[in-house]
Amino acid sequence: MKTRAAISGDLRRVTGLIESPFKTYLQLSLLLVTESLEPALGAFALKGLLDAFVALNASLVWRAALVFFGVTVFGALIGGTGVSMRVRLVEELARRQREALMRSGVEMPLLQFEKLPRGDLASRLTSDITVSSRVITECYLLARVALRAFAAAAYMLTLNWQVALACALTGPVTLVVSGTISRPINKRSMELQTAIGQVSSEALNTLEGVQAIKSFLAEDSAEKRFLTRASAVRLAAVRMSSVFALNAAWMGTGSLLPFAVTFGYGGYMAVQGRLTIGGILALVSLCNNLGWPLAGMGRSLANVRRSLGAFRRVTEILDLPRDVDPVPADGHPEQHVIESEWDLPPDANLAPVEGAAITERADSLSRAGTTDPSADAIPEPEDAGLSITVRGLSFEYIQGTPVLKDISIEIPAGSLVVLAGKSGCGKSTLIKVLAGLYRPYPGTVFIGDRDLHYEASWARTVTLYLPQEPFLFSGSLRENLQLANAEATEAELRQALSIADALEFVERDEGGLDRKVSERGSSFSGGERQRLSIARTLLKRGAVLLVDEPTSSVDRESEERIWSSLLLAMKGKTCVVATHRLEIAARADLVFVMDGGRIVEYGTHADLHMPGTVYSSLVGETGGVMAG
Amino acid sequence: MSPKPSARNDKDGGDDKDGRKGKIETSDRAREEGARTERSREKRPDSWRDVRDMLSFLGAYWPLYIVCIFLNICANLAYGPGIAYSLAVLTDSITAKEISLVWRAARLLGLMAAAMGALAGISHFLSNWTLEAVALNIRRKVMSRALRANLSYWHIQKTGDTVSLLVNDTETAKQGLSLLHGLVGDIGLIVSCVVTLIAWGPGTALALFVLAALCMFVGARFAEPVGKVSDEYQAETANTTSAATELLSGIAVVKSLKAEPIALGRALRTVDRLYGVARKRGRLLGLQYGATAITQGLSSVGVLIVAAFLSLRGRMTVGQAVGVMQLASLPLNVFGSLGESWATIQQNLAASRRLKVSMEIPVERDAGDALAEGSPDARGALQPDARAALHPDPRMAPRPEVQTGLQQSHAHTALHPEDTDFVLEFDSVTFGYDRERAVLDGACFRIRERQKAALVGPSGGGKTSVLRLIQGFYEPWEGTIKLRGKDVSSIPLKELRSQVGIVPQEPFIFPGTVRENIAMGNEQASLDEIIRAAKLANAHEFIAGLPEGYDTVLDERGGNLSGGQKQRICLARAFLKDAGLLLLDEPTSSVDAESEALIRQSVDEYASRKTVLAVSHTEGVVEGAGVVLSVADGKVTETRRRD
Ligand SMILES: Nc1ncnc2c1ncn2[C@@H]1O[C@H](COP(=O)(O)OP(=O)(O)O)[C@@H](O)[C@H]1O
Ligand SMILES: Nc1ncnc2c1ncn2[C@@H]1O[C@H](COP(=O)(O)OP(=O)(O)O)[C@@H](O)[C@H]1O
Ligand SMILES: [Mg+2]
Ligand SMILES: [Mg+2]
Repeated sequence: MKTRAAISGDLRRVTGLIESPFKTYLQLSLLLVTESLEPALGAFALKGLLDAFVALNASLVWRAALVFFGVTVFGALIGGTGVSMRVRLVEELARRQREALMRSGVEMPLLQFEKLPRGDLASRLTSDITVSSRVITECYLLARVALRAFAAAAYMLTLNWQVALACALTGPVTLVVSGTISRPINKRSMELQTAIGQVSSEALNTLEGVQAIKSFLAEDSAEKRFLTRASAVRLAAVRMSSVFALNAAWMGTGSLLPFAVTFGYGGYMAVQGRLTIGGILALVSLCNNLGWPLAGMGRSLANVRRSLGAFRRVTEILDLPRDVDPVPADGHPEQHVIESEWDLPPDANLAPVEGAAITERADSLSRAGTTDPSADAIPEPEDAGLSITVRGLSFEYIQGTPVLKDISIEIPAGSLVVLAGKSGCGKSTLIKVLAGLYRPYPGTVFIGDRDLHYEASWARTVTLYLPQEPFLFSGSLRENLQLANAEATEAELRQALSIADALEFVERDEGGLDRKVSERGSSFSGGERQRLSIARTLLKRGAVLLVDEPTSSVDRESEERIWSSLLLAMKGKTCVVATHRLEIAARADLVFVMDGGRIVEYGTHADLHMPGTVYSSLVGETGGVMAG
Repeated sequence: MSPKPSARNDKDGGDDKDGRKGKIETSDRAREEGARTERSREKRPDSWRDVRDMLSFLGAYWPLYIVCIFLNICANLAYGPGIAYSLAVLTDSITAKEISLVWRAARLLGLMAAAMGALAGISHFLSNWTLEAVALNIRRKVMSRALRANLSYWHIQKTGDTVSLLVNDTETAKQGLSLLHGLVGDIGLIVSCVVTLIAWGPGTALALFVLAALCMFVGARFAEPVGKVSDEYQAETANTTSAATELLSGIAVVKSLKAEPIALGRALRTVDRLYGVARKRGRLLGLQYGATAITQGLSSVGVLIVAAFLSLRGRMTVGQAVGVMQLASLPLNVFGSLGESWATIQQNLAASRRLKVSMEIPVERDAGDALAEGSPDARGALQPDARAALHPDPRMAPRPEVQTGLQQSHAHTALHPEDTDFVLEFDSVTFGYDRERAVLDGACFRIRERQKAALVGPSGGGKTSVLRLIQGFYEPWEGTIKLRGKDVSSIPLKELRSQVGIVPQEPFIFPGTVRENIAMGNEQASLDEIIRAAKLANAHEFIAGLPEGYDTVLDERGGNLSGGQKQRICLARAFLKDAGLLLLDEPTSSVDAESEALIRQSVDEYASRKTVLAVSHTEGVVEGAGVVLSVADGKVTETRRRD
């Protein structure tokens, strides 16, 4: 059967998660054997006790009581060990799965990750894992029930084979019915877990926007949306519990069947004198190990199925492809050397005027140098400046709707380049591709002489990427900054902060670098968050700075300070800046104008700032600002 | 899954040891499975009060819960005295060698089997049905509360934590309720057993009492440490959830910083800590199991010896003595596992405590009425029609059917501003987020009707804080804020916010269609109105270009939109609301000049009808402002005035 193969495959995977599977399984099987024998031993001791009791022999009673007590202690020891071992196993599996899940979240391609709802992931991390980590334990319990039933049946056979056989016959009936009843569990539990994932997603998204929801008096509608999801959970849970209820009903009846047989048939035989009272009582006690377990086996099976279902939801994520650099067909990626004579896009309607631009920038740099002397101390990374070459790059988030269309640009090493264009034209997307966050395809992107299609993760080491929306983690400021460079010294931290014009407000607060950051950095103003994000990025060493509208929430003066010191710090490095700000474009060596995913114009600000160009329409008639 | 049925079944055994084992197995599972999140506290509160609190979650469902308990007791009666009685009949019939009695015992058992089946099925379903309804109710309450909490609540609380409350703690509390009705059923069982025992021979009953007390004592000794470790366990689970949620939210940053090892390491440390606590818990549970098992074995033997002694003296028939064996094992099981169930319940109680706390978090000033109402549908009618805000004159607006007198009086005030034509007045307002540092320090300014005011200043100066104060998210420490001459703190928040529109600094997009996003909080808006608003925000063009236009589903946090597109959707949302006072918090920071020029036109047009207060660093929106207010060092100064 197909499902059986799938189950054994899943079990192998679970085994792979255990640290020392051999030892664990050995311990488990030892426990299993002793735990399965233990009820039979108990029944044996009880029989001795009762027989002594019925025989009214005091010394026999005492001896039997001693045996009984010994068995009890043995059972307690084994049982206690079993409990703590199973709990440990469950927790070990939970831990491994949590680790694997978090890791695969970090390691999967960003593009894919962004399509997964975070709340659903979070619920897989909690709700599903608590169920799925019980896989082995549930299997163990199933096996134990089966073995106990088996041992009980064997012992019963030695007591009285006729009664035992009659009892045993009820077993298969009970089992088959129970198994059939619990078959839908698999699907139902999957439904339930999915519904729980949706609830947690909905909750996360709603709570994150609580302020906007309040502003728009949307509490009620948000609550209604949440309620719809929560009701779905309820429905799924009730549907699942109806299966369990049917099972419980059958167990209620089925568990008493062996009793009825023992009472009837065994009683008849006892009256005939072919069975002692002690014997019949021992049979009755053994019925517990036969009737009930057999009926409950269906439920155990259901639990195994349920945990396997949850495990599959976990592996669903684990199985998503990792973001590993593909190995090029023709050997090392370094062999992809750019042809130096490669031309700039022919569709550009203006030629670059490089010399002029570079001098211009040098001017602005020297001016900046006088305003912020502290920036001089920024250590120069080894590889200063890398050129960037993009050829025929297209990119789409959703198949069929390309966001970047056949982009070809060349950015000389050490230059400052501005990407301009209406919002939604693809600037951020291009920057993310350059930052190695999205793997370029089709088309090629080279940083230096390396092809990003094959070395996107290398690109992330040499580029400093400043996202459009700053994201701070909760914890302390220091922890946030050290994310970029764990070994950064106090002086380096302060320097980065000062370049980002953040030192002043950080020092103003008593906490300083140890000031607590609340979730998403909400305890800072928008501009403060941006500046902290800049400082953090600067702590990372790199040769290419990719900036996505980093100062949109910062006031004019602060912005000016940031850019002055930033450009100084980035001296000799390649900078690509997506921005609407005119001042920055004016300083740039080259401006690429994007529209609808294509590069439509390029050149220096002076070249482009002429009537009739797309660029001038971006700049607007005010001339003062490019985008307000 | 419910641990209960198996626990109940296990009691039917003549073999007490095995019965106990089944029980422990299941409660042990419940504990392992229960999801747990709890910040550990220094003081562990009174358990009985917690139980009461947990029961209070039942709300209107308590009669059903009582029925569940009743069914449980019925089932226990059959399983306990029922089987024992049959067994006694059987044994005596065997000693008497009377075959008809044997058949009677078997028939009795058969009947009981059928009854049991029906009873077990019904009670299982009913209990699950009830508890799921209760869980839904809990989720609704927690969410409802969280949505209406003071904004400062979210300064310390993490969203991941509340999500885990809604998902995991609710589940755990539900399990607690189920365990509790099982326990109450057990008490019914014990009482019935004890009554039978007393009828048969008070001596054994007495012995049972003494030994049961011993069992309970041993069990209870573990309740405290297990409960404590459970608390710890839950706190760590909560930490793990929060850490994971955060890691997942910031993954792009982590990747670009090449900080995967550090960030992942931080998150994994929480996992490791959780594992450490879990192992401690496992050891404790094992110890507890062993200790109770030994005590219970001892107790069974003790009762047996007393019974043997009594029947030797001829005070009891042998059948009765055997029945005592069966009977005594049941309460002993229950008592022995009571301590343990108690330990399980500790965890459920911890979850329910957490839920209780989250249901009592301070809410905004008049949110209490909304919470007191029943379902949100019922409340929907109370919500002032957002279109009411479209009209400056409230009498012209379609009035909502249900209207409190309070709201009417305020609407009245808004209509006839008392001897002032200022829409907004800040009168020496002092405010800060924490006591140490005031963000605003005696800020004063005024804005007239149909004026466009600009709020400028260094970042971190307090501009966003001013806008938050206007919307009543925080109360000023000192001074007053007046909206149309009326102190903001005395206007019901609902009304206040219906008069104020905002484009927040960080655009908020929820997963849903573009249309739903623009119409947020205004479900009655027609598509035409939505399109009109989108056009004003210069968003129509790009929305029309989306795969499914206004019905395109947006991702979490607007992941499939560019920054400027998100901002424009938020602008459209505010234009649709068309409130009397529009607050713009850097509304065009990610928007290109062309869009911005168009947006500025819309804002100017808006300002000709209503009042606008715009925060911006760039001249675009600020251009042509009647007043420019600059915020710096906690003060607000009017730098330009053109009337
Ligand atoms: N994750 C995504 N999934 C689908 N579409 C996206 C996604 N991110 C951006 N887009 C779309 O791609 C286009 C370009 O976006 P973006 O690069 O962010 O623009 P810009 O930064 O120039 O404003 C927009 O139309 C946007 O809707
Ligand atoms: N939730 C918060 N908790 C503590 N401090 C805050 C919080 N929000 C803002 N602040 C602080 O208050 C000051 C003003 O912030 P804000 O009003 O957002 O400034 P902006 O003028 O840039 O909008 C900043 O210094 C910021 O660090
Ligand atoms: Mg962008
Ligand atoms: Mg702000």
